[in-house]
Amino acid sequence: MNPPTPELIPTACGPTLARIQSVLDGATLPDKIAADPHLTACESCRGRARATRTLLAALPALDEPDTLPIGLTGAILAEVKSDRRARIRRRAVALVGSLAAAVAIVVWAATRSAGRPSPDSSPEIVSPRPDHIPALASTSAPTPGSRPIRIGDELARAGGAIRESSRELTDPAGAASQVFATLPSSFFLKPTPPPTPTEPVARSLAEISEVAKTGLEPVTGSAQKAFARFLRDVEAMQPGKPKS
Amino acid sequence: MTDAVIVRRCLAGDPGATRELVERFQKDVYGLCVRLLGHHQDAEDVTQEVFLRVFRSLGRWDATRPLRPWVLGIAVNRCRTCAGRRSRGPELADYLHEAPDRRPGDDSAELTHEIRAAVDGLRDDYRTVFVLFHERGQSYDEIAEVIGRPVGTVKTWLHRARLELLDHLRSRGLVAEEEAKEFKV
Ligand SMILES: [Zn+2]
Repeated sequence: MNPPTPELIPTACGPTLARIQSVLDGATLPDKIAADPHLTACESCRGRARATRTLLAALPALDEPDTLPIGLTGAILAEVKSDRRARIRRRAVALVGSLAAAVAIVVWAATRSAGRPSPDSSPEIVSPRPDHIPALASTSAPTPGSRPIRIGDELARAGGAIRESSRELTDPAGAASQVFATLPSSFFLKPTPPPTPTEPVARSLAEISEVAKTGLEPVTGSAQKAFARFLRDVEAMQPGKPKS
Repeated sequence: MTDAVIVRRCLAGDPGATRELVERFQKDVYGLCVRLLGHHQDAEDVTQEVFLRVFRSLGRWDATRPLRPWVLGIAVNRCRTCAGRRSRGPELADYLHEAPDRRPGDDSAELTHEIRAAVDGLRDDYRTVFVLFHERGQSYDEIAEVIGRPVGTVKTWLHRARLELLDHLRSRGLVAEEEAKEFKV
């Protein structure tokens, strides 16, 4: 919206036009225009000076206060009130929708986890196992391209979405996230004691020195198995050392 | 009640403050809409839209700036949108129809009508600054706030608007000789 090129006005008219503008601004008395000697020489400015007088006479009628339509205030207030309610309702619907979506995700994830064969009684029922534990890897390794479902992650994501969608409704959103914070624990199985080492593993452990044993004291279960196999493999790969 | 206090109370959902804000600005908003749209029913509808916008975006108002120009700025924008939507400018018939106290032969009413028609013929931004200054009594600084332009631009547009009007009055012969005598020219 750039102004168009203004009509070319002779430089000599400049001071007179500035005075006319100042009169219309209310900063200069109209008599000052009449005293301008340029008006006797310039017909355009003389005409503008006369039109200024006309405009000054008409301006008070232009800013007459408009009568407000009857009931306008009430109509505005009613509209504003109903708009405010509608916005609150929309936010509530969005919040409920987010909650429903989150619950659906949780139920889906829980159903999926329950349908999968459980390899052992380890508490980490959804975590992929390291590949170097053959006995466990064979039963729980994820198929290529699939991503293991982590309920905790899904819940965290759902909780985040809810908080994002309902920033202005902080209290309900806070309450929702608290509810979700308590949910994950109920979906994990309670930790059970680690399985007893199998016979060969127990034998391997018995073979290592007392020093190594103390170093392995906290290592139990599948980690023990892995470590025992590792020690045996290392021993087997040493060329100069006779096998026992 | 200051602007900041009234806004804070409105944001807290105080119905009394909401009413006070509406009553404080509705006359300015409605008057501006009537002049920019040239139609009373449209002006009434747009006035309601303006206040909806005002209350929806009240949280974004900069408390260091005056509230009135901010509200009028929303009104100017809504009028532009409305004018664009209906894609017809204010018509002569609107004024003739909506001025029941205007008597034929009443020179001052004829002149007012002529000037209004000339103002309506100005391009949008010239007309807006002219109406805000001469009809709504806003200062250059306030108009700059309303339209979001520098004061220099406001002055330029208003001066050009006035010059166009003066030349229009001149070309229409609306300059009496006796008025010229008063000017001693
Ligand atoms: Zn001149």
